[in-house]
Amino acid sequence: MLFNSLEFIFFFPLVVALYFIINPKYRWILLLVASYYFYMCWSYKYIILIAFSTVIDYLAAIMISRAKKKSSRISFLMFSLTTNLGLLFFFKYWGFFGETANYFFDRFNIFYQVPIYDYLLPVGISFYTFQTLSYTIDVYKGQCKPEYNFGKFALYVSFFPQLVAGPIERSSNLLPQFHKTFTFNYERIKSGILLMCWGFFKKVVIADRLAEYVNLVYNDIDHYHGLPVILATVFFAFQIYCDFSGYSDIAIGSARIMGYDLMTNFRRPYLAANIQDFWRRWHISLSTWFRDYVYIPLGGSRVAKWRWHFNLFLTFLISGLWHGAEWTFIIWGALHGIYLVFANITKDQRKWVNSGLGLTKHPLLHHLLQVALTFILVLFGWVFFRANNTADAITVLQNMFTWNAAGTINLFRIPSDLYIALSAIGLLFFIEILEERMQLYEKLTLLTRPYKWLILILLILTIFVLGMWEAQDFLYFQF
Amino acid sequence: MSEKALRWIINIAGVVCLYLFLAVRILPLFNGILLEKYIPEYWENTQWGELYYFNFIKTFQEKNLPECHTKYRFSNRHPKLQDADILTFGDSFFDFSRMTTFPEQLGDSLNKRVYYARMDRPLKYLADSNYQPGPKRYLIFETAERFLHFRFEQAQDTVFYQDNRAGIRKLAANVRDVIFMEDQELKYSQLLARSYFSTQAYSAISTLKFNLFGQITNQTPAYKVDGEIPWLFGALQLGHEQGGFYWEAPHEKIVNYCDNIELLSKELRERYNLELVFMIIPSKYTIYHYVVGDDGKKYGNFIPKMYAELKKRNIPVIEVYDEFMAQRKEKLLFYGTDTHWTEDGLHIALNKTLNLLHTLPVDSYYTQAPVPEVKNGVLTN
Repeated sequence: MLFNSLEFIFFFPLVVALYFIINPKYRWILLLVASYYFYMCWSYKYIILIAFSTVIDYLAAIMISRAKKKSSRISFLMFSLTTNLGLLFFFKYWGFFGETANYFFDRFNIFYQVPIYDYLLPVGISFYTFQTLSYTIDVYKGQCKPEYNFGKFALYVSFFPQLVAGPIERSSNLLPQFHKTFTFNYERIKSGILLMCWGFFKKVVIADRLAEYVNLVYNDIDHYHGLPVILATVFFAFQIYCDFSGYSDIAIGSARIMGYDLMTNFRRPYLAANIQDFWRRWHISLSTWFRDYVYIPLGGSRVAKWRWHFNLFLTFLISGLWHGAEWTFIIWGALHGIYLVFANITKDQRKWVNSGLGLTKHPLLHHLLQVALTFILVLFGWVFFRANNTADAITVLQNMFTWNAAGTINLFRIPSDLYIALSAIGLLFFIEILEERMQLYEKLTLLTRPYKWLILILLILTIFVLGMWEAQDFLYFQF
Repeated sequence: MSEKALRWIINIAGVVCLYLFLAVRILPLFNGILLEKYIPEYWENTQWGELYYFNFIKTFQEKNLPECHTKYRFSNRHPKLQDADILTFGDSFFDFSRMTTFPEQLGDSLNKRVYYARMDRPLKYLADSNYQPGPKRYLIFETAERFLHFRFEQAQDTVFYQDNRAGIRKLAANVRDVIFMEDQELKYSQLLARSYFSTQAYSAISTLKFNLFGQITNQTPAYKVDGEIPWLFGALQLGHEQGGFYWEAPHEKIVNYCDNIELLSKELRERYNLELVFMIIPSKYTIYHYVVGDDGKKYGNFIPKMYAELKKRNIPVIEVYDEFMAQRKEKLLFYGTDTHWTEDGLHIALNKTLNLLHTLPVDSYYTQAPVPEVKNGVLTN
């Protein structure tokens, strides 16, 4: 079930109404049923995978906590890791690695072909696998206690607001909330609704509108040159941001209405002043996951310099692979790894250049230039992320700089979409800059009631009038 | 707003959503709030042209559309399959009931019993209906241009399997299909667009979007509003993909379709003593593309290519394309806001059919009477 579908729009109020009607003791049962239904609307068969992961991790965590010997604890942890990662590998990466292996077998005349299976990638498998992995690892490390209530643990794995595209929640944050009783809270519900509306705005007004332009250019890249290609790439940057952060806002908002706090997943990433800052703002639940479960176990920055840089690079390479079993994603991850390593290596030189250019005397200009440069670097990465394959990505980069005067810039089917898209992006920037400088929501709560209602009604009307309601998948479902 | 009021709003929203959740699964509840009731098989019997219902923009409410009749296949004039003199199978063109339908007019013209079924798998239909071969009969198979590739990309099945799932498994499957309905989203959108409570608001928003920004669904991307009647064209008709106006219709594809049509013809003859007569109805866009300023030079010539290839194989084909093109400016052959033909369009097809049946050599059965001609909707002999 997609958030931007009527199915969800009618499903969610029903769940919320029931949630506040029934005895709080049994709310988890309602949420579990709703979550399984939510997932099964996409494919009822693949619920078995979630159920299987749930059983494995539930048992593994209890066994880990009960085991006396370290070797037994490691065995149970390994059992959980191999099962979860095995499923993920089989469903997501088998085809990719199999095809790569077959290519090399062909090249070296080895008469063996890895069988390639044709099946659907289970939606959200990367998200819920990482969520359950973090749980068993945390139990192993003693950072959280195992959950003995199987139903509540199953809900932790499948909680519908964040099941298919995150935020990837830590057990220490989400699981305890399933043991609390939330009362009907006016303020929380109001802020949840507003956040959901903002998420819908980003998704259906901006992301889905930009998708048309981006898909047109990127799916037929040989025919486009110059400005349309540059514009399509810029549009993709906003498409993916609005798509994914829109999903996160709807997820966080819908959970908040029921009383649950999910972690913030995006914090105005395109206002970042450097790549490191960008990763503190972009897909925070994933980047902190990689920090805690990959980068730090590899030694983090508390090792020799070359090893530190290797750790950084490797973490981002794996992060790229997490996004998809394609070379384009691996290159994208590697690029960000290289950016960070380069930033570390050239820290002193950059300071020297900045002061040489006199930028240190103009902090605002310096900051703006940093933001712009960071955006360009991120944009370069998005080319690989969006392109259908590496050859297309190279063509995109080449065609950006070959001019075709005959072409038109406005490639939207409906010409007004260009102006609506640009205005909506402008509004997004305006609001994000305000948020960056002040607590916008807190300021909004200070407004008088008619103004608050006016803002909410305007937002809802804008979503209905300018929204693209021919439901499109969220980009991050494919990961 | 107080906390109590918000609680009430949530509870009322919950009840409404529960009703809707059930309504998309239970027909009487679904119809309970619809302005125009949904009757399975009758969905196109609506006040406005069917393409209007893709966007609900008031500008496209075409005036003076004839009302729909009871569909021929449900009327008491419709013969049983086994008793029919002529079989007609096909899609919505033969079923389109803003006028007396094609099969019914064909029956009246020839004074024969004409059977009609709406489907696209004749062999399966005949097998399921336990049709017994009798004297040679004609089967007129009609397909809209844009659907031909769905029907003949692959050879039609010649072996059919019964659904042998045991009772309890079948029941479980049915329950599962109801809970996890595949067309849930479509039904919700129909409820939103067509219910007593929301249709006005839905239509007003759609019209506002259209008037302010030119926003229109990509299901009806081509339109014209400044003529005598409004015009809408469905997206499937003007794509570059198979079935679309701009599809290049490569030779190997044409051969593939015709191979499969020939195979169907052979199977029908051998199994049921039925002689296949083929009819392709051009898409509205194929005929009226000029209305929206398209000079038509990019048409892939799909229908003429099909005619040529079918003729090579001696498959009788009712050629309506040239006649439609010749008469398109004199007469309105398709409704402006509907995918389907007008009575004038139907009459061209009917005359062509009568002429063809008359010339077919096989059987005197069809040639006893002189060919009647249809003029201005009146049958003459």
